[in-house]
Amino acid sequence: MATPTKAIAVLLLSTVVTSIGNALLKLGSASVSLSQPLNIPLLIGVVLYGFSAILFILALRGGELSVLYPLYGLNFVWINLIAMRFFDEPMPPLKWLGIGLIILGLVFISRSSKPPVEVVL
Amino acid sequence: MVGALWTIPVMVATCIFTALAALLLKQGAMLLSFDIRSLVRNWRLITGVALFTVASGVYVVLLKFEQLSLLYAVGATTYIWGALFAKVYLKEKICKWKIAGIAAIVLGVALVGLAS
Repeated sequence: MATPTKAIAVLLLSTVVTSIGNALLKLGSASVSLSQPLNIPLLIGVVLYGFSAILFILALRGGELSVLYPLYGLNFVWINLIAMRFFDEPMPPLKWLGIGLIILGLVFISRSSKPPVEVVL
Repeated sequence: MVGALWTIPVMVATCIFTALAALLLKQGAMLLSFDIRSLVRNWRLITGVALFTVASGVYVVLLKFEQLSLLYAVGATTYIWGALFAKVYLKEKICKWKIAGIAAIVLGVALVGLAS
């Protein structure tokens, strides 16, 4: 069974939403205190986590687990890019190499999800 | 450098349970229909969500006792467990492209963790 592009697209969207949720949770948790346990970024972060879980389940409905689950590794790419851009976290060359390998893995797995081309003679 | 000896086997077990959660979510997703009664009876979906939540909680606790880089590196193996469960329980084919892709992603995640 080939995994349709639509399922992969929904999974990729899920990873983007998870990463944004992660960033908001990080932002929100910085100002959490006993007197103020909740704040807007924290709440939106939790909602986004829930929404990304729904997207993940919908994606799984349409494709193979062995294709879609590894693609979830793309979270690490988005999280690190967001951290670099908005939290000024350093990006040493080893991290860039890791990100490059994750993207390469995504390309390989996407190739595996295409059905074999039938040659009709 | 390992922080505490018990953290690695616990992290490995967490990876296995996370991959198991993904398997249950996949099986639950295939039976998904959008009515409340069916959702409540979908024990695979509910158990998958619960397992993911518990595994995330264990991971947060492990962060207090172990280096993030090592947890990332071990945690990357969850995709290998996921592929194994997919092959055994869902009879999915694991071709060379998938093996190469999973290997690249696991290595990539481990490197990102080591660089953190």
